[in-house]
Amino acid sequence: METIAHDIVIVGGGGAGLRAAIAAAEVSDALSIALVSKVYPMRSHTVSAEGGAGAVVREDDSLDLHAFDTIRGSDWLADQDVVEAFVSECFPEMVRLEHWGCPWSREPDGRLAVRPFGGMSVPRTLFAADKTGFHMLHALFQTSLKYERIARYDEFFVTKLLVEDGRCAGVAAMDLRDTEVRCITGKAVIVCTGGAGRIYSFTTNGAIKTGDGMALAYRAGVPLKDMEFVQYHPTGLPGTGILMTEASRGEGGYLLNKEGRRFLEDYIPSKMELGPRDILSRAIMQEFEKGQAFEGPYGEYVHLDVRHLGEETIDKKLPFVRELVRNYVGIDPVHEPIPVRPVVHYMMGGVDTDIVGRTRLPGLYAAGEAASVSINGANRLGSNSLSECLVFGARAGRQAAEDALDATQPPRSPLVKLAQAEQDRLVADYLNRTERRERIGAIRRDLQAAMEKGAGIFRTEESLKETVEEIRRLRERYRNVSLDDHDRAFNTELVAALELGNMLDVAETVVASGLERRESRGSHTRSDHPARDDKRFLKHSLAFSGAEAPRIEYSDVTITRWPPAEREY
Amino acid sequence: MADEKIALKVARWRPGHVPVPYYDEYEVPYREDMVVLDALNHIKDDIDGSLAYRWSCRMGVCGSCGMMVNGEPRLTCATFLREFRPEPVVVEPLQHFPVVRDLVVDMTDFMEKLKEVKPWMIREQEKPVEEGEYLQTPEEVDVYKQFSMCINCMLCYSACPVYGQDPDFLGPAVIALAHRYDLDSRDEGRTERKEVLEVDWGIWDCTFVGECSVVCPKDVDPAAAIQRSKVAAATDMLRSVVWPFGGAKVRTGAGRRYPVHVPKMPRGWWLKTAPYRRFVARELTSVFVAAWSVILLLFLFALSRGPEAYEGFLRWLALPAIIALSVVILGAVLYHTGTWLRLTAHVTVIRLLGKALPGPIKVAALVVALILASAVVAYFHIWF
Repeated sequence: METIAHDIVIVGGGGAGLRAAIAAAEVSDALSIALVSKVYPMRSHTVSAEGGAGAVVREDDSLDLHAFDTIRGSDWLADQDVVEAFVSECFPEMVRLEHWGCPWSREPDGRLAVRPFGGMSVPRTLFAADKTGFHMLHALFQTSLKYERIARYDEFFVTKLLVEDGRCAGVAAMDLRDTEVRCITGKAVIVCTGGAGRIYSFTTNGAIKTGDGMALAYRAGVPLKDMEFVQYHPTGLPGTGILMTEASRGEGGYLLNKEGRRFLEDYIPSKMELGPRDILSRAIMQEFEKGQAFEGPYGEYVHLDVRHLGEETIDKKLPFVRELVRNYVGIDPVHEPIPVRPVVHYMMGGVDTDIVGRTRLPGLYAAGEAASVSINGANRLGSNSLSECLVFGARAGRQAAEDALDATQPPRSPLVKLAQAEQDRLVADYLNRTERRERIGAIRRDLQAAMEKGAGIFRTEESLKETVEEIRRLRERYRNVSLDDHDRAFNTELVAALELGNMLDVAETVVASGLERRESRGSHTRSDHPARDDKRFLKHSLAFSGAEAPRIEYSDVTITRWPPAEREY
Repeated sequence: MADEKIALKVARWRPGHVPVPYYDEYEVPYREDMVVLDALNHIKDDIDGSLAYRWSCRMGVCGSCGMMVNGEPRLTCATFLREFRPEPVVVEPLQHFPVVRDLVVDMTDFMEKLKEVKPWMIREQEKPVEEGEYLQTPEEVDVYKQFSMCINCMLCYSACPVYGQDPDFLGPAVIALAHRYDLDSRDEGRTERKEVLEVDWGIWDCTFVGECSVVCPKDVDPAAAIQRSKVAAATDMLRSVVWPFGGAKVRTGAGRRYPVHVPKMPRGWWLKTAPYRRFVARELTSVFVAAWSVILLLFLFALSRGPEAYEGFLRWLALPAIIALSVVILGAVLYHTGTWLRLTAHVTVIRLLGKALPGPIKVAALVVALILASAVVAYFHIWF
């Protein structure tokens, strides 16, 4: 077993992971940092983020207003001390990224430009046309290349967090090239593996978003917080789920029903298309129910109309939207409205961390979508997640670095033993099993369909209970999964099997947390409990790994200056 | 509609099994809106889980899923099956790269070259974050924006015959990225990057085939980036009259830890695609340009030997074979001029009122200039 010692091990090479790596590298040049990712960093899903990153830029804006918008958007479930820290660090992070070369869109005088976004009272979304995530990711990745002390392990799949003596001290990471597990040790491990949108059928998320880090932490005994809150983006393409950025509405696009009417005037007349995502997604679903939607090969849809913006604005501000719609729908949004439907986009929940990214397991940290710190509460505002990756990636990286400077290197032999057990498990459970029973693809499809049906935008006690049962059955089937591929070189089917295991764990926490939360708040809409219930549920849910099913506990929400109020727009 | 099928022929290779790749054929259900990647996913999920390939975003921005589709480097998530139907679709790993497994190629070389050109902001003095952003006008962003759109999908390497023959070549995407930082008003690292770019295996290795820009799914136009870097390097050289010696260095490929299949370029590679054929035709016309120069030299030589020799030369020129040759040369030279005008317009950036002039206008301007120059020459020829 090959053992590699570093000071800090970061799992995931997207926005949060890269930012954490650079932050840690800048704390001290004595630290060696491992960046372990199942894909090359520039493939990470940050690349698909389109609209922009939030920060207070304009004179008519204030940190308090950004904080209030975020808290109101979260339906008061965000921790307000965390939100206050967050909003004050957004702009410096944007400037830092600007210094690192991110091609932000500019005002004519050369300053950073901002655009309006849903749920934000004033324009505060910085953007690089509509490929903001792409440009941020590449700027971060390219900048990370100049630090020799960041060692990359590209295409290494982490199968387990190595916990010894109550401390997380490394990871078991399988090299895809030869399917050998390496024992990568560190004084601190940061999980930055993103979300888990792939547990649903219709999602904007790429194939890699299978909740790996969430599942790793969960199995190591760390609770997953607020997992019932799953964000549906109101405007994805039917079928593929490809994201039509909120910026298309920020720049002035309309949502129209089949009568050609801006139906949002019935739901949120003060904000219209710039309402928060949970409210807009529900509104669209209600239009479906009223028979006000179009019918297509992939079900019902409404129209996103940007025609009135004109070709010049579309090409300047929304070129990617035009490119995607032309390529994947075969129409030109300059001349025709775009068919859209709500699709799963983001997990508000994640690994429970404190304000600097520490989890309750010493040595383990988390940041980005994989974590719940929590600024997003029950509903995230568009453009806060890219900022979150930077702010909390940096915070976790710095904290882990400072803690690592004071810590000693963990003892090697027990960790090697744990990693060796992982290697043996992979061989026995997957590579050497030849009897042919269950296909990965079939279980995955059934899981996605069950989640969409029972734990989608509208949920009930009954639908969630059915989903619990279905996941239990899928777990049984998963035990009998077998591979076609028994090869050691780049075995992507083995990776898919391990990912499916992670997806099942994460899906289970979503459903279990949703079942217990008998109220409606933010993105979690219980048709059988339509009101918000602050008395019982102004609390974070915590899903702990249990013997049979997840065990759900609750923790308090930190309220500083904005007492819970009716969420009015 | 529901029962329609399409056949895929997919290249397979695994280390330690067979020495050269072979093909597996699959039949998958067909829908009008299916891309090649959808078909591969169908194969993997429902027919043969052992097929290995990379993919993620399936919206053309993560850069993972580049493969050869019917002989051309393409993003499989953005290539529709309907383009090929009813013919079977042949899917192979990106050419010019060592194969790790099936459709997965080895990216090590690309990743090392990426780092080599220092794709990060280089400044004498960094501005503290508290002092805010560097100012950069939208026009200054436009100068480099196009070259910042590269998704590292490596299709351009697969399209580049130079890279195919000389794996040391830095290659299109990497040079375009260096050019992107060189053009950025915030960056001061051009001198540092010159050492990496202006070497035999850097910009001077490029013969301007132009195919990299043809296959680029993001319109980055790396060919233009390389030619512009050449122009900048040549200008620098004239300025300093110091030639950057770099050719003596020897590159060593990084030691590979894993077995790979290294494909060879076939001898007839230049006949394979229309753009390659056009490139070779363009290069070939240079021979005719040279031939005409020789004729001109003969003409001068005859002139220097007096009226008789001159008369003899004119008689020689009037021979039917020589007239035929002249016509052929004229055609070749016109073709060569055409490509030269088009490429020059493509490579040079002229900014007027903050906007870059579009290509056709630049070509038109060059054609007008050519006609004027010819008119001046003709004027002196006829009246003096």
